[in-house]
Amino acid sequence: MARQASAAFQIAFGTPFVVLGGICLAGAIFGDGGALNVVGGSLLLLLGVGAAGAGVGQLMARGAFSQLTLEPLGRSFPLGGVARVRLVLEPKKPMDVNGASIVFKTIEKAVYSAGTDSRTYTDTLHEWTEAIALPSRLVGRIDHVIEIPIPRRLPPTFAGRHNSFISSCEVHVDLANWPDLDLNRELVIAAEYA
Amino acid sequence: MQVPFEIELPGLVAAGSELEGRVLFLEDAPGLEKVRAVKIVCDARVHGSGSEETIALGPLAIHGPFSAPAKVPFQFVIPRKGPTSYEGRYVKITWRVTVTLDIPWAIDPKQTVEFQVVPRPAKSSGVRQVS
Repeated sequence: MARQASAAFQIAFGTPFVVLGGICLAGAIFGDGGALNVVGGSLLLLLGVGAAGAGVGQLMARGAFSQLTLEPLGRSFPLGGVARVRLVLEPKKPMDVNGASIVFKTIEKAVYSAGTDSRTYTDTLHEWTEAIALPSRLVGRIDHVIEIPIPRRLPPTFAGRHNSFISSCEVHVDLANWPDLDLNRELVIAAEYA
Repeated sequence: MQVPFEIELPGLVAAGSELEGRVLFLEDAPGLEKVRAVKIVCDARVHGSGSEETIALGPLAIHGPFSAPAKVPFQFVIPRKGPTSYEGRYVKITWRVTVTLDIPWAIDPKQTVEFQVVPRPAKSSGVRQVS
């Protein structure tokens, strides 16, 4: 759901740039616009196409699947234990896969705000990446459970108003002849040792 | 007004368990009889580079009169989800207990003692360990 919202945002962000860029270029070509209009229009157009294109790509890749989920198998996971997440992929038609990977990441984030001054500080405390063994051709439903080791030294999940420790996992699937697919979910790390 | 007192706390407490402490009045100092109440706050101070925030438990108010030697016990339940004590690059979490003596018509004496909250050991076995 978050990814779909992100794709929609990318499209919404990119579209006005495409329109503005188009107007500038049209003005330069059909009117008496100068080189500045051509350069400015082209830059706006490129920016818009890039942003909106990424969003459209995500939606296209998602649209090729009848089922697509990444869900944690538990409400929370202990430190020093293993988090299990289930990846379900069911393409509408057989699809070739070039590769897939999962990244588990814990970040520390602090937001300072006073009046109009606002600053955000972020530090990655842990990052773990592993390849996911998917068949090279996806046919039918693929139900895959992935185990993620959680180090003992990590802080448990904390979401304050200005400060947080957030853990999440992101699955990246490189689809042949399709835009790549990204799925991510937040994982709750409990204040508990395994 | 000087009213000597001490705060007795364990150094480590697991998330989800009880913090048990005591306020000790060891000497029969003048003014102790004027202490109307002992106010105790337990909180996690979340500080560092971001805006500061606190997660407070309490306050507790234990009413007098008190006479030395006296031991005033108190307890707080630390939430299961913590937060646990942490010293990060941008976020630091410090747990502390602050005791204030409420004395009418005087500046209230105050003391703060820090302690650590650590993750609790899991009750269920069978969870695979990661080295």
